[in-house]
Amino acid sequence: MNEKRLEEWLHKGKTESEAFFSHSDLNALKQKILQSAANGHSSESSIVLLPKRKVRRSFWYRAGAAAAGMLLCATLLLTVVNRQPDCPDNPVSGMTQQPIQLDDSGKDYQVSFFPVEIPQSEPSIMSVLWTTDLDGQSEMLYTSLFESCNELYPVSTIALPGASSRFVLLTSGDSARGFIHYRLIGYAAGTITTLWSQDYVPDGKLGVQDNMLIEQRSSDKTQTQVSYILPYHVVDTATVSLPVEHLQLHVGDLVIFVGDSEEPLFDISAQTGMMRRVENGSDLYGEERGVAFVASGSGSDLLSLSKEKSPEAGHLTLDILQ
Amino acid sequence: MVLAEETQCGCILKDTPQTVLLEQMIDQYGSRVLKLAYYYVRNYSDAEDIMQEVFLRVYQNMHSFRGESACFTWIYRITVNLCKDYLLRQGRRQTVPLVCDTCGESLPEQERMFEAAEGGEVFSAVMELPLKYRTVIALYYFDEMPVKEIANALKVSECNVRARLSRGRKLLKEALSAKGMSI
Repeated sequence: MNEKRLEEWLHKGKTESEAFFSHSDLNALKQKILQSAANGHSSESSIVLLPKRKVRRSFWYRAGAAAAGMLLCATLLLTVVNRQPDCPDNPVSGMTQQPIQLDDSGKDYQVSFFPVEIPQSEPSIMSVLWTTDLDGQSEMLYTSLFESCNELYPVSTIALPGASSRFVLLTSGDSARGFIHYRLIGYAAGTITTLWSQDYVPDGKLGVQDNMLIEQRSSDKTQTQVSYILPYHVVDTATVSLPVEHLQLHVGDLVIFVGDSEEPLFDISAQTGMMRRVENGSDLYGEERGVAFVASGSGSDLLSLSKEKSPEAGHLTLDILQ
Repeated sequence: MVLAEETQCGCILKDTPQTVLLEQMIDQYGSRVLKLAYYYVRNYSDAEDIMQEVFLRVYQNMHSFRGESACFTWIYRITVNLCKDYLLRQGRRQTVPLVCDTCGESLPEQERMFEAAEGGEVFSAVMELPLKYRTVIALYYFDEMPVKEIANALKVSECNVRARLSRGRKLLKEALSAKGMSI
């Protein structure tokens, strides 16, 4: 194949693109937007299902690039945790910390949140999940940057039946600007896996109910999208543990299965077809992981999880309302 | 409302009224937002509607803008999210695949003809590519966006963008060859 020729065609395509979009009346569009803005177009603030608190900003440090910021956070964190646990003069004021229980090992796990400033970006929050071993040595397990936000929500953990470890939900956002970020991470055998990650969820609302996430987002004032995010856990090679066995939802809602494995272990089929599988799920909110179904019609359905040697691995019955 | 001092683009000035700022942002980014929306939804009037919604959201939240790169990345991400929500709603209204990875097959014939007639052979061939390839190909070659900016806007890694560009080019070669265009 002639790459040079392709480049020439693409250059032609650029010219064609410019011609295609030259028909746009951007001035008219601009006037419509300005008119709407002048008429007081406004949106409701996000109403988040979880209580929130502001991150204190009494202490700022410049972290440089994101990687340098993580390193600095880790260094400061180690300075803090190597002191006595009840030391009152924590040198990193502005940090928020919450203990969590990740497994039944008795180890001490903490999630810390640091306000960070990154050049050419807006104030953000760095989250760090870490633990200390019996010798007092700390180990950082997971970090994630929440961009352009200043509000934190309590960390939630989800424990599925039969699972020795838990899922952790980290959430942040900016209610004034109407978005949330969140991470659902799984922990097993000392390994952290990001199961589901979303940023800038518009008018985002998030809750945990019956060990599943319920996410609501709204791109305009008349349409909302509800997603039920079901983490699953493989109990043994043949059985999967789901948070619920029955779900009631509405037409248009999404059901998204996310598991603690690199590859989906199970085939998931719908009995009546009311639940339609979303093909090429990587285009769903930019996420590569997860198997998604959309409720396409009212009625009942049964989603069956199976694999080659275990055709009856798991079931989820659904009642779909209009 | 007080914003940070302008440094690069000439569009963010201290103590500038919000409507003036909005107008400047539309002048500066409006065309790019409209194009990105079209690359996703491939419907001109819907792309215009999305563009309007994007800037109304920008207007509501512009008090937190600091610098040009963050501003534009944020605007692009709003655009991407609105486009994806649009595609999901389209999937609920039609009996076609919910997500437009096969959008080339499901686009109404009238709109495809419009695209081919008004855009030309190469442009329409790029628009026929699956969504995740046509967006990066169009942003990189038609809009001349750097890989890093594309990665920030689409919230994927730079490696991912390069991989999609590579795969997209291969698919495009096949498509152009099938149209009888010599490669």
